Amino acid sequence: MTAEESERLGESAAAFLGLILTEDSLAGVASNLRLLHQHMAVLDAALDARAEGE
Amino acid sequence: MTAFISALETAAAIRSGALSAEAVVRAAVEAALGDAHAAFTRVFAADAIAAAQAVDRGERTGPLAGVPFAVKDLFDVAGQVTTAGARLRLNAPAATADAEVVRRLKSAGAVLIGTLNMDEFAYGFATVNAHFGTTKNPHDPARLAGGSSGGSAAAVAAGIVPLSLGSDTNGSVRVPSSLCGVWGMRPADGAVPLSGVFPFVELLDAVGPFARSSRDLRALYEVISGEALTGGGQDLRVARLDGFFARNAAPEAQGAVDAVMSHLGSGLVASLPEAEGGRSAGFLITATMGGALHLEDLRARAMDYDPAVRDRLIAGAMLPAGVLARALDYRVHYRRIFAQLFEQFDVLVAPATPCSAPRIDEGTILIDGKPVSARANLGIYAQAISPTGAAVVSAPLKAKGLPIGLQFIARPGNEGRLFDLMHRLEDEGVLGFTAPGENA
Repeated sequence: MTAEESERLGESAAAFLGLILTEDSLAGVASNLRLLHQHMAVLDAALDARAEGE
Repeated sequence: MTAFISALETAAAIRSGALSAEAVVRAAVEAALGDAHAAFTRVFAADAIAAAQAVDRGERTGPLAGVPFAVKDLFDVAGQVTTAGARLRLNAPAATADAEVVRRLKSAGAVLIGTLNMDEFAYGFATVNAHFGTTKNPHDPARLAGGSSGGSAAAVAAGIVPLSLGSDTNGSVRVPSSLCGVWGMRPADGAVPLSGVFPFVELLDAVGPFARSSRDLRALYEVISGEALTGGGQDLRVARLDGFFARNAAPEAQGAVDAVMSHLGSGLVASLPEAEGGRSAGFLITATMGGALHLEDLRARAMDYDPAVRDRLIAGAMLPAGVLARALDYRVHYRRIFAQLFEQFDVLVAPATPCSAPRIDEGTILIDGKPVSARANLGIYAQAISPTGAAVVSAPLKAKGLPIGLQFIARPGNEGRLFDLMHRLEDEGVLGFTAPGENA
């Protein structure tokens, strides 16, 4: 996930939840979304490894 | 009476009449009111002194009669608001009853003196709280105490109370116990009741004790769990966890594991290649369940949250349900793989934190060679263990310099033998608390 993608997603998140966030907060949300995306990739790899092992 | 007298010595001195409970509790209350570490959020001076006087009159008894303790501000205390470290909750209705573990400690005669600082809603490893302040490490006030039970660890390390309670979802007992150089524990799943504890992630939350000695920790654990531990048996097979648990370990963290394994004369190594996946599963379970728990309040009062916590919760609330399902699915697999390790080994050893306490003004630590948020990453090793459901004691290495702790991990049911090992290593000088100022 690129920084730009996470920023757009962060803005969408705020809009979806009906929140008006500061720029700093939007940046914080975006940063956390990128981190979660990294963990999702790790989990996907772990699930694939489990499937291969079975 | 030294500030660092143990809970068990205090209880014995009160029983014998060598000390009065009132004198002990007054000293703790005075220390709490003058606390320079921002460990306490509230001090219940009048109630605590009244309870101590009841002990001295023989009206309150128990194995910990007269021993002062304090609790993280997410345990219900009758008549008090449980803030969970949040401005959002300052006007919440007061609790009508004590949390079960608070009730058990009071039934054992211990005296509650106050509530302790935490990361807001327990979402952090630093105890940097936008509303109640940053808890400072008693060993170096320019450094973090860790979190989210930072107040609980700091109050014990500073000698204000000999016992405290915190909570551990992803490492919130083990991280501050490591950084503050005290003993802590993440009990096995279900071992200690969560009734009256403000939730974070229901599947991962655990109540955890803090103390300055392994015997005090055991005594506190036995009261809150309601279980008298038995040990004994053959020599334990103790193995270090390698791979993920050795990567990113600063020299002091790796050195701590080396020191213990060398002292034990054990070259056993346990491999857990699934650890990274297990940690990520825990991270995602926390993000999704935490975000869901707070969604309504985020929509109504987002700006009342600590900004760092708010932004993490919002991000988590956006994750699809399928992510949680996959993480939970992997957790089942991970628990099974982890349990298999106990067929070969009795105790597993890993660092509790990747490094000693970072400076407050830095805010980052190095992971994979890159500076990352300390608040979110001090628990990388602890977070990989939380989903397993194992019993974990976080023990301080007995050494000069900034404290560093280790995780000693045992299968549920083996807590007695685990504590036997802790007592042995403490008696032999490998593990143990060092008072602030004495570790230079």
